[in-house]
Amino acid sequence: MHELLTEAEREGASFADLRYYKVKEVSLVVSESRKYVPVNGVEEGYSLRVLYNGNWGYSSFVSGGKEMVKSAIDSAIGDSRVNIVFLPSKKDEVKVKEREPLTKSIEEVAKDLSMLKDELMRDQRVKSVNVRYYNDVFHKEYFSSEGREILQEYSLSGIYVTVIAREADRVASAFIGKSTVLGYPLEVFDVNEIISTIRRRIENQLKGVIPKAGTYETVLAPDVVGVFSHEALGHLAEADLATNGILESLKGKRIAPEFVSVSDSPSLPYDMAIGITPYDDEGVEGREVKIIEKGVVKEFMTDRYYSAYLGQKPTGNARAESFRMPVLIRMRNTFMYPGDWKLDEMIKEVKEGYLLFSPLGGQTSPDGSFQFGIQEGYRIEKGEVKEPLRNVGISGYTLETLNNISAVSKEFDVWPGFCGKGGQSVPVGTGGPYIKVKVKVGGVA
Amino acid sequence: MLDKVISKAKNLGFSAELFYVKRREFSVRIERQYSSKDLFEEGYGLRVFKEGKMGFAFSTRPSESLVEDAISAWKVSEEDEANQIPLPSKVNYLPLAKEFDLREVTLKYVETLRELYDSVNVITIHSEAYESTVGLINTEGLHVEERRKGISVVVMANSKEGTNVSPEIVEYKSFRDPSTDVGDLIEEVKAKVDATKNREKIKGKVDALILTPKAVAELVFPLLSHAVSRENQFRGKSPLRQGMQVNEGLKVFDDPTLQDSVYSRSFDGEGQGSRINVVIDKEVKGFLSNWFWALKSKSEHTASASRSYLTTPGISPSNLVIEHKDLLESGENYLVVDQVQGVHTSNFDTGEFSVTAPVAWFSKDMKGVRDVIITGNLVDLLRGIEAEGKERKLVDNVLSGELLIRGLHVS
Repeated sequence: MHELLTEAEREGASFADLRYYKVKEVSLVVSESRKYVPVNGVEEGYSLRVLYNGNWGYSSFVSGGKEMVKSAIDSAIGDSRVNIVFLPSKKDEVKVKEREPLTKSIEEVAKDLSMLKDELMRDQRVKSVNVRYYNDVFHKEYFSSEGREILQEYSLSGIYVTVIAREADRVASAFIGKSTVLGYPLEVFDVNEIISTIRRRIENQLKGVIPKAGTYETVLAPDVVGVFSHEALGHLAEADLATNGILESLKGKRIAPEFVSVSDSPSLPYDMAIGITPYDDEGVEGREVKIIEKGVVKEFMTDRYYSAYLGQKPTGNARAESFRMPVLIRMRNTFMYPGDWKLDEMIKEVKEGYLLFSPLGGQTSPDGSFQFGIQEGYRIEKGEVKEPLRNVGISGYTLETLNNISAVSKEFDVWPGFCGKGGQSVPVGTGGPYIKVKVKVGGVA
Repeated sequence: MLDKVISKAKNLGFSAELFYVKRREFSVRIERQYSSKDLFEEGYGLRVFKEGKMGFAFSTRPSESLVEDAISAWKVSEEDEANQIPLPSKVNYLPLAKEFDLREVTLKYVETLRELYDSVNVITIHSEAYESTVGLINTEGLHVEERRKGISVVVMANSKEGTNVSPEIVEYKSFRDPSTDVGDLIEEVKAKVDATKNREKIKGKVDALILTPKAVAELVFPLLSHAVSRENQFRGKSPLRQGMQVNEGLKVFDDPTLQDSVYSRSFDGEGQGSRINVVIDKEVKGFLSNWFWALKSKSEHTASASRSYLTTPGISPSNLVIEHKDLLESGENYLVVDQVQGVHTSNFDTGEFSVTAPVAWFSKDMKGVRDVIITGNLVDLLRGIEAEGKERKLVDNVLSGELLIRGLHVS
């Protein structure tokens, strides 16, 4: 056992665990006016947690010894009611293998980014291009007083492109971001597809119309459905929020049609499923959490505490952004299961509505309300896709919206994101099929 | 060690700047379980300059190897005459570290806020106190350092009866004075949970609304912060232009010297002495810059560099003060918006936004409303400000009164 844990037990802790994080981070930015490295270094530190007299105490530090055990124990205050799930001892190592490992020097990567920027700048209307590449190499170790020793290594990389264009007095702003644990993003992903997507979005923003606000039949694309599953439903099913929100009293009850199922999973076989979490930051093996199964609320995502509180098998959803932060219940890869429809069939069913492709993040509240922006969308009239839209937002109430889903497609995809909660940001995957649903659409004036 | 790193870079022919932070933080978070944390952190960020190029490296451990790492990044940098090391500047030190015990103060506020358990469904109580030492040293003779201490408290609460769950009220306050009273925050939580228990849809057209200081901090600050950055203006990513007529009665300035704000500082992220910068006074007066973007745009330097040790300096306001010459008169039944959701989905480059307002009510009877969507853009919002409430309040890093605004689309 790690010596700090032995010391914690000697000091009277009934349980203790230690997280060690070492992250090598590099980020490179190429824009129309600058090329530089804004991030380059190593973050390294420990988080020691003790359960002492029924209370949690944390000590997070860069360097230190046994005095940090005292610091953690001294900080263990509260109502002495913390009860957790204990696990058997285990030793394991997980090293995620890259499909396209980075073989280029940082100078060569800079050259690739410059080529991408130059290609986008060829359009005279484009005034600003920002291309950011990042690569974070994680080495995480977990030790617990139960005798668990888990090592995990993986590398997370991404490419993020933002373009500003002007035509007459109209300004367009388009964005695309792709992240992966499978290696160098400009080899994992198709660069030409990145360029054509950005160009299409710029064109749409310049030519698009503002939708009339109201409730419409819409077809939401996998990227939007993934964000809906994450923002509108997933957060409500995180046990710490669920027990203060609308889902707790709905467990075991139907809240969606039978063809709707939503899960959170520690891994998915998709390039952008970056919420990969074989073991969480409490050393718990990840398992699929069936949030909604065939329309019925099934279970919640938990940490060790909420597993004990709810009497539910541990799920492996406790995650921390870094050694500085305590673990919180977080999603990993949240997705809606595919169905039987084809996209074309769904569009044909819509008389007056919208096809919405790409979200701009989102937000939710325990009362079940959600809101998120859309950066690429089209009007649908009599079953045909018409002109593009300028920035659009959708909002509503999760329960109403789930009940309004009338079709789910066979097509399915997963997109990456970074989820914020309690001041911490963690990588997540969000996925789903196309769905047909009635939802409130708001135009940006 | 700091001097050794700087000397090593200098001996290799580079100008160099080392930014360092040491931080201690004690926090308590109560949800269903208590979680307390004692944090000890340090970090170092090194920039090297030569031949119009800049390199950067950071570490959580002080080490001379930072120099080699920064030089490897320097090789990638594009030559630009704006890549120059900041020069020494006069710093007037502010009193930003009142003496108090981090743990004692944190627990005192936790105890005070626990009163809320008697009246509302408390989701989270968070109390935190910190002490940090921030400094910069460079090869040009610049050496600044100061201690900063601060406290912040957050409460999240709602009303919950079965599936009838009201929106989450999030109230927060940050300050430097440990004798600060949080009784006002407690009363606001109770009143807002009560107001939003049973919300109704808006009937009729709303052509004017009031943003509370909290809503100003949540909606106006992020959009304005992006828009007043010299980098964004220079790169065509701001909806504001120099000299643009905005509002006859409006003045907006950035003030890093407000002593009770935890966002105040005696010097910016490049060691430049803090100063007050007017960004809007009837028209757009100026943009905030750091050393690079001031040189790049050939404009005035405003000492607005913002950074952590993990990154190179960016640009950000410290405390935005928003004033309007006309006072808000009571009597009308206005829609009051206190909390907005989805600001991060805005198009910051154009200033366009579409947000929901989960916490909103009508001023006469504080009757809560639901399904409120506010759409508009930053320029129209600023132009539409007609008056300001009597009492200014510091929320996060915005000091403002309630703002009466006309011209936004409310549905």
